[in-house]
Amino acid sequence: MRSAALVVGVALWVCAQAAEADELGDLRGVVTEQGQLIDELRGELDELRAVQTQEGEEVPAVAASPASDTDSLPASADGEVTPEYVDERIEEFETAPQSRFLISGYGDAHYRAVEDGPDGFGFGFNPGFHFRMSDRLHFNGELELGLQRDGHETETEVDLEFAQIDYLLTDWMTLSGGFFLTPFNAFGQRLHPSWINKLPSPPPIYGGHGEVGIIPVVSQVGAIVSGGATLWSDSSKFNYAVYVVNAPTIEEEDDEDVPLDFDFKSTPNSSSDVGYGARVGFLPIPNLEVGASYQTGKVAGSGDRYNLVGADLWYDFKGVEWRAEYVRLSQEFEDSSPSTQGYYVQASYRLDNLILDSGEWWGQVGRVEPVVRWGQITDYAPNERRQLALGLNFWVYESAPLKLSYELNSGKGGEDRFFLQFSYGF
Amino acid sequence: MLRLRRPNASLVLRALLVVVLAATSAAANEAEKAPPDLARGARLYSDNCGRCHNARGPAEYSDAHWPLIVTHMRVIAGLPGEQARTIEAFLRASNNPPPPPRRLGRLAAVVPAAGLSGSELIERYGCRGCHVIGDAGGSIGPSLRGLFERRQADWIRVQIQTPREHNAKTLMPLYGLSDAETSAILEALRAAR
Repeated sequence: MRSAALVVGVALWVCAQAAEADELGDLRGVVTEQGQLIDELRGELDELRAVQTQEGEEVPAVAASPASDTDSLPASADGEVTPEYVDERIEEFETAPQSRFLISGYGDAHYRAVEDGPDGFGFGFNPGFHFRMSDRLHFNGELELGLQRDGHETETEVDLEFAQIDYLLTDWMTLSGGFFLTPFNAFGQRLHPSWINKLPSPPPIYGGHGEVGIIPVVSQVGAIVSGGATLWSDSSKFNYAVYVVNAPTIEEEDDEDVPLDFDFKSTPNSSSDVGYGARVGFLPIPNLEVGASYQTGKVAGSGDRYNLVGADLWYDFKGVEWRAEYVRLSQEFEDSSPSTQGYYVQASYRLDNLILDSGEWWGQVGRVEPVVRWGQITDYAPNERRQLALGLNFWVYESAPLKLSYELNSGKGGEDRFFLQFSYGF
Repeated sequence: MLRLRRPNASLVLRALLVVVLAATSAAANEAEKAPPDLARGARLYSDNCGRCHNARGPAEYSDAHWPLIVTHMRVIAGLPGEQARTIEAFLRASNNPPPPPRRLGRLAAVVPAAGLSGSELIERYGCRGCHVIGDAGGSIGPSLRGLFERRQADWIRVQIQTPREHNAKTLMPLYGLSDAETSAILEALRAAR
């Protein structure tokens, strides 16, 4: 019995050795094949280098990678760039912390020459403050600093441009309150900062800061619901704003009311009257926005109703940027309804649509942007004022234009003007 | 007889508000989980921000500050929240130089074999958000049609990997692309002309 078991054991050991010998042979074959494959790949690599060198590309030296570099990578052993690798890298970009506070804004320095008027230098400085109290709750404010001549002294003047609290209720709705830039047309709320406005002066329908217009860049005290949503595609959408504000007060001159000369900033409200309004913007395609605006209410304390109607258009046609706005302001007295209305159309074209800015000296031509603007106002008198403005901008940085312009103004109070302005957004 | 009390209006409003907030919070959390779509973010940045002003370079503000700017712009321009977050992700991803690319292996510097193609890399990194490539693309950067007729391959490679070497004022983000990725993108650009 013992001898039989010994024979069986010896037989099994011999078989196992034979099997191991077979496996070893197989492994040797695999190693040989892998060696041949590596030689083939080296050959292909040399061929690729030769081809790319002929094409003018310099193939970077292939450095041997430490094992630790490749072990943790979501890439296969032969180094292919996998989706996981790219996703991981993109996610690595997203690790920076968020801040709660930021100062931004804009400023400018300019020279203005006026036909039959005083020439001189000027400046503007508008620091903005942004606070993030939470992901949904933000505070935004902006000051307007300047100098004011008071008798024999020049004093620093501080004005408030806006100061509002925003609560992001949903993806398509934000609740805001405070002192906000009124969403009436596009220029007042979005385009008036000097580094954004393509010309040194505002369009003729906008007044304030010594300019004669129909309305100033309006900021009002009240509450606003605004937002936007996509329509039939990612690129088509609409935006909206609905608001209620303190009623504007009427400016007095020599104890007499001047029709249509309102102070929209009226606060505190001198009566219980309010104004309310809305703007709707429609963007059917990415390069077109059409907006309609309306505001109405009672002029504080007078009982007279006022109406503010507006329309705005933006269209980018093959690099030519078109802007146009229309404003009509009217006041309803018992026996009359005086109104003032006006419009402007502006076209600009940045030459980098034609010339690449590659860092060469001639590439700087791509930073030049000619601008032309035509505008007209007709008031209740009726008086007409027309303006043709020609401008040439050089974008030193994308938020810092050097602007040169000449305005041909005609009609009541129309004097030609020359501007040189350097503006910067920060 | 049992009488049902009329629901208190303010209670109903509060309940609705809670539901809306919960729903939006859940939606926001879902959105945060999704990986950033750089291509879409670049396109939305071009479409929306360029509507009012020149597109500012991603490096003008730090990663930490872009959310403050984008939120303010969202409110001013009436941007849908989801689009604003996508733009923010693009800007933060394109902002500070990312870590240097890690080596992928011996052969990685040549051409990706069976991974993402150059065309897929162009889509993933959002090149078309700023440049016209083939038949489509944005307008923040120059069109890349006929690029190889204007520039040598070496110049293009440097522009892709270290854009500011050619022009310190360029808005082009520094993605820190590997040699393999750059080679693949070069080939795709060459094929797209």
